[in-house]
Amino acid sequence: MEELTKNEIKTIKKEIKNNASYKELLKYMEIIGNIDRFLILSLLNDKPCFLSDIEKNLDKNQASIAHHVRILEKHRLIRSSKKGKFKEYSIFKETFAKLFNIWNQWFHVI
Amino acid sequence: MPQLNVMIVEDELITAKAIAVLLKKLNYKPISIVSSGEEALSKIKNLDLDLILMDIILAGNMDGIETAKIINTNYNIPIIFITAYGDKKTLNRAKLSEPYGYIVKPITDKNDLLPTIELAMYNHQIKNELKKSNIKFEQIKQLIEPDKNLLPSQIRNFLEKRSDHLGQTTEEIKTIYEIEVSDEKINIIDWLKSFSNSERFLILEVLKSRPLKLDEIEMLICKSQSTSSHHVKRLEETGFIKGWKDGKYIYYSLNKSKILEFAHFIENWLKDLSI
Repeated sequence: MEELTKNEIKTIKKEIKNNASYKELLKYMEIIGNIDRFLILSLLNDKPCFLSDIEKNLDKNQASIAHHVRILEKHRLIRSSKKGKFKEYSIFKETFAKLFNIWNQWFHVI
Repeated sequence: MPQLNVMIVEDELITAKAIAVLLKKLNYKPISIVSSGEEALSKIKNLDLDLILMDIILAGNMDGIETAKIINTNYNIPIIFITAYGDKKTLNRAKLSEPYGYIVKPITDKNDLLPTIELAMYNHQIKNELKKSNIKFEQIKQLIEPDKNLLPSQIRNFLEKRSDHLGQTTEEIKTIYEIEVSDEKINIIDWLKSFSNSERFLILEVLKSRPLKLDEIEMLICKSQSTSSHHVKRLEETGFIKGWKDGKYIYYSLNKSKILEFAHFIENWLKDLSI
């Protein structure tokens, strides 16, 4: 097997890191790769929930859940709507449709 | 005293043999003598070792400290450094690999070895016990059963399994996050963690087009050998990559069937969330 030189590796790395789909997929993988966020998304997929429902079902404290929810909302993986005094969270389906496409493109190359 | 299986990593054969004789006098079993870090790493997985005595200056490309770091990342075997270099700089470097002891050569008598080895084995036992109690603590934390009313079926299954695992080992408790894919059980936490790290993601991306050696992986992610080994180990454990020998090098390539299993699992999950 022919060895790669340092410069060749640098070039490969640069090309990959400049690839927009790669960057986007990595960003989403880092978010959903956390088991708590993965569970929150799976939970919200079942039905929209208030923060207190998520806390109860994931057996985590409010600060930790609020932190994960903030990240998910910031990256438009979930959205919220006001129900009385509280916010109800649900899946941002359009983002997942987009992510589904990026994911499929990614693995077609394997 | 139980017989300990010992590996001696020492580039001077005469010194190594002399140490082996002293070890035998102490009723230890010097089952392997190697002269380089590379040789130590290639033999270690096939031996049931209790202790490694490691010289700092070795034949080959790696010194004893680098070798010790890799061993610590991958195995739970105490290492004692044996070296002629007793200077502070070497000692400070050696400390970073968290050795169990440090003996300065020449070693002429079995009593030069005995106290350090005994203390190392004792500390190793204490460290293992501490690890076990930490695991127990984590298990207890996990065993509080949550309200299950709102959970989707797959996630509900994970959580329902928790209550059946009181007092069992970590390996068993890990099964709560196991799901069946293609008749095989996989752990969803391991899969996600393995895939969602930017350095491992980069390694996988390059492996899509060609195999890589460990030093190429090091150059790619610009990290130390121990960090690179850790990532490789993690990817190997989840089955995403596999290593194979070509001459004196180990190459790593994608394990396509396993990656595709993961891809289909995530694909179904994303599809479910998008409709």
